[in-house]
Amino acid sequence: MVITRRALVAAGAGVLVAGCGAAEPIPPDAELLGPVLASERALVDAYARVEGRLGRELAARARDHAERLARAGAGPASGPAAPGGDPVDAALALQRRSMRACVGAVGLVREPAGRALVAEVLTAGAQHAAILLARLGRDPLPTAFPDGRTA
Amino acid sequence: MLAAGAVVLLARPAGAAAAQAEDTAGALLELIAREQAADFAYRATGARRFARLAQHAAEHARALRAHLESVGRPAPAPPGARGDLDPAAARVASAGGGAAAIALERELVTVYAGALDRLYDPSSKRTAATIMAGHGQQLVVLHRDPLQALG
Repeated sequence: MVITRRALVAAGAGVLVAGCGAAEPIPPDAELLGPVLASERALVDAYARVEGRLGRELAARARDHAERLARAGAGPASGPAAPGGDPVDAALALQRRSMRACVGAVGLVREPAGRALVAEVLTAGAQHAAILLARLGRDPLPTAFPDGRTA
Repeated sequence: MLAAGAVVLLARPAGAAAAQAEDTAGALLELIAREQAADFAYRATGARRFARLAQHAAEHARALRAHLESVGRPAPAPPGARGDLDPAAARVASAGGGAAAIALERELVTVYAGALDRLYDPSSKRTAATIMAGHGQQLVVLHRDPLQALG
């Protein structure tokens, strides 16, 4: 494979951007993982409010994610407040928040093991969201990109 | 956001940056080929239930191509015949059943998980992780019991 001039020009443009101070320092992994941990902890409680096997299984998975994130060194972060109302709707809202935290972290976490864990939690989150959408009688697969982007 | 990759690449010594760009391009080429093969395979079945999965695969490939172009590489040609497909996609094209589709989607999740470490810039990592999550979501809709999709 050959690096093209176009690639090098694009890279050079990036350095200029960095040189102008546009790039901000990347926080440590613990700080990047913190919001994901906080969201998963909040999901444990949210899924506990969902009745039946669905609530039990998804709560157990959120608990497992939270424990693994803590072991991976995720730092403290303020947890999102669980919305009121229908438990499935509330869990879906929190699940989407967790997914946004994952997307933010996965590009920046330095340690491969931490990055892999975040990608796994994101994938599980997308699966949980699809199951919740189906439970709500909505389209479980509304987009090709679970983070909501259109392309 | 794509230019952010170039920022990171040029922050490294030239040789290391070139190697990382090569690895990123190689990973993107493989992922695009897998998505194009999945698109071809799902369409080849002619099954309505797979039409949306084909559409999503095409959208995934398009998103990945944008990252590949940002490092100055052309996209791979789409498959022209079943013989061009990877084995998992070929099984979908020939068997057409849910089991083959589940196997393909599971394999794609694994492929993306493995590719994350080869993608150097945050933007392409986020795109790959989001698409990985999308394949996880597709596993849910392929299972009669959605909870069985949870690995």
